[in-house]
Amino acid sequence: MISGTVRILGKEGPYILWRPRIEVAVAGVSRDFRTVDVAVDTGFTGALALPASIIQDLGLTRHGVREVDLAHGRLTLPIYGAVVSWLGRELAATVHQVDGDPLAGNALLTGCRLTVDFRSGGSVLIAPLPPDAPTL
Amino acid sequence: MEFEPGSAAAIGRAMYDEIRDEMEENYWGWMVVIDIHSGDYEIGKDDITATMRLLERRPHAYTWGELVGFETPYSFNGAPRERAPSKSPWKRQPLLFEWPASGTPQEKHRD
Repeated sequence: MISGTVRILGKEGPYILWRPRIEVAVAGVSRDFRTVDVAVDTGFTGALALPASIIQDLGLTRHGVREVDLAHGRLTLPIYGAVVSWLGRELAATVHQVDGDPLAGNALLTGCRLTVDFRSGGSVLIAPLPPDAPTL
Repeated sequence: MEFEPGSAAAIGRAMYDEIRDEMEENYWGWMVVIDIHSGDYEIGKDDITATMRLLERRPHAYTWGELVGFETPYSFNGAPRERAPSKSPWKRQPLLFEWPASGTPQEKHRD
């Protein structure tokens, strides 16, 4: 089980941005794992999106570029390969290089149960999907 | 060798255009990863699987990815947009996942 908290990222105009945040351990080929504070973003379909500074610290290997769809237009972003420690397993994952808040997206959350108490300081829990979970 | 993201995208797109019809016919919803140095490609159920398989064969690959049948492989906006078929009639093949019967989110908001 992975746990985190809902924390304030900042203000955008009159809005306070609350984000459910967790810590994940990420490593490059050296397998030197470091924890990274990421926001859980169910609108992001990839695995991880990290800023260039963190990618450089981790020493990830660049594999190429991928196109992403945004709310307003498209962008071509560099992608990197990484190993993520996720629910007791080590997964290979792609990492997108972005400007801004580090994100964990749907590719990591697939097959998990995400519970968020959506208020400041509320708890964030990610657990494997139980066998009795309802289907569509 | 590294490319500017823009030129890598142009090369990758041109390479994918050559195999698009075949891919859309047989691998809808799969990920195609292309090495833009050699034109070699791998198909996988997700990006990292296809990329790792390609890197085993081409350790110095610089890759471009396409999600077959969609305009972009990734989205920060919920879901990638489905692409209009390049060839008709479009035979949609068995999927990794099915949208609910009410249609894709894109179809619902198209009008």
